[in-house]
Amino acid sequence: MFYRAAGIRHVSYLQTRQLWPLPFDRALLAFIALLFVSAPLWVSPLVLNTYLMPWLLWTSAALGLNLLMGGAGQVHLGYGAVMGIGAYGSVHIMRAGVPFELALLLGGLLAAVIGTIFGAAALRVKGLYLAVSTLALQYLTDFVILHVPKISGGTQASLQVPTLRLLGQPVTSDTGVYFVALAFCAVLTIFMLNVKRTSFGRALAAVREKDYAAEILGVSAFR
Amino acid sequence: MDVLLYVELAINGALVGTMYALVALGIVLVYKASRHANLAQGAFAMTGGYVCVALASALGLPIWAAAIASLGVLFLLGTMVERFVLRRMIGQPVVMVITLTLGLDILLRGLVPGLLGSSVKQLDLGIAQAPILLGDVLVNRAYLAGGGVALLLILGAIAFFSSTLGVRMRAVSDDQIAAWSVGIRVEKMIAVAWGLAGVSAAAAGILWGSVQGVDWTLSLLLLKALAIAILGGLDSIAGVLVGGLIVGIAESVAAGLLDPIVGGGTRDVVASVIILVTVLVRPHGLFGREHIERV
Repeated sequence: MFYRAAGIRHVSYLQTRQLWPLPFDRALLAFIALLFVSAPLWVSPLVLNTYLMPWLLWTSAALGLNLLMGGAGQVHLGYGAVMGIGAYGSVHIMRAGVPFELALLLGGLLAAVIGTIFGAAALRVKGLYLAVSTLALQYLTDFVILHVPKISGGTQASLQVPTLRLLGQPVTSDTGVYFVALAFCAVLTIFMLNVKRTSFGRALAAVREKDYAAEILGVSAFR
Repeated sequence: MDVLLYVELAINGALVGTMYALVALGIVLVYKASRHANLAQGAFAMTGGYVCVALASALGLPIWAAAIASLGVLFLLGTMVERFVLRRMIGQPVVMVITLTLGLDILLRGLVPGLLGSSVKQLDLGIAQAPILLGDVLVNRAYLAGGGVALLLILGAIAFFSSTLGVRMRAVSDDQIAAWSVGIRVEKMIAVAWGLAGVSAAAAGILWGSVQGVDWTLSLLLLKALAIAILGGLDSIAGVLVGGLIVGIAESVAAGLLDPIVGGGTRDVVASVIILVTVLVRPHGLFGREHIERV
């Protein structure tokens, strides 16, 4: 992460493809992970709720944007809309009595489907035009969410999220919610790190660097 | 639901649209000169309004002097933005410029109301409140004055492109390296384009601020300006005028027609719909050059 190996590198393929090749990095990561896991023991609930929670949530959210903008080089200014769709989707599915895990997956799936429709519409152009059309989609989603009371519960209202239940256990304490968020963030981070190593991740990088060159190599930018 | 109502909506919408077009003018000028996206235009408009209010109240200048002085301030701000922020972006991917100007927009949107006060400020240009009657149609006097000034400025911009400076700017827009080789100072031209973007934004901010008061919501003009710039073609000044009329009329009529049905807010969504339809159907806009790259 912060340091690079000096001297002879790239001895074996597996070693080069490791996520964290240096022992120092691995130790550092273990230390950071330990800090996060033990955080509820030594920070006050206020700090936990107002600093660490948003930190984890925004990290998870920004990871998707990182894949799109950093990985594929495509601007997406309507990302908040996709987040909103996912959030409203899962909350509604949960209110219908579906357990949390399933609702989360379904909400994510809904956001992915609508996000792909966005993508199909917006990816016909790139650069500034892509930026502007995703921005327009953001405003459209805002409008739809605000003006359909079935979704938002009215212009000024906010939805009550049912109690979080994980594998049948209700999670009510702040610490519990913190750990759920931490687990999600960790899983997502490792997933995203791995995506960059797959053929899909490399295809995205190829599109970022030169889209027509990628097309010649057989990468469909349309994905 | 009579015809007269729609005529009234359309006329007032066209005047408002001309004022929006003034904001879009800045986006087009910058895009024409440097192929850079200028997403800070909304915040420029807001800053223009604020500077005008601040000059009038702090220095006690008469309102016309304050307005002209704030045009000068924004010209300076535009050139400074180009010199210290955008020039570092030469040769960088388009994502960088978009993120940078959008960040600038958000920064100004927070900073300027933070320094000069976030409450709505009155900006009285001395225009009478009573509407003008054209037969049975009511025309808002502030819109009429604003639309007239905006129209003059846009025509001025079209005329500017036949002046010496304007011809140089056209050369820069056609081919930067060729312009460089015949001795045109490309950076200077781009700086002038940013300065003029600041001026047109300030004019729009002052005019629109006299209608609805000056506060941070002036920066929401960005989306409408983008819709106009995209619809008219990103590198066409005449397109700005036509696009402005279309967006203004569409917004006004849609608001009059649909707001009672869906319960308000249509005005703001029209711009989004226009952007999407244009990008999908005719991405280079009505008058733009066809050079859009597709993925």
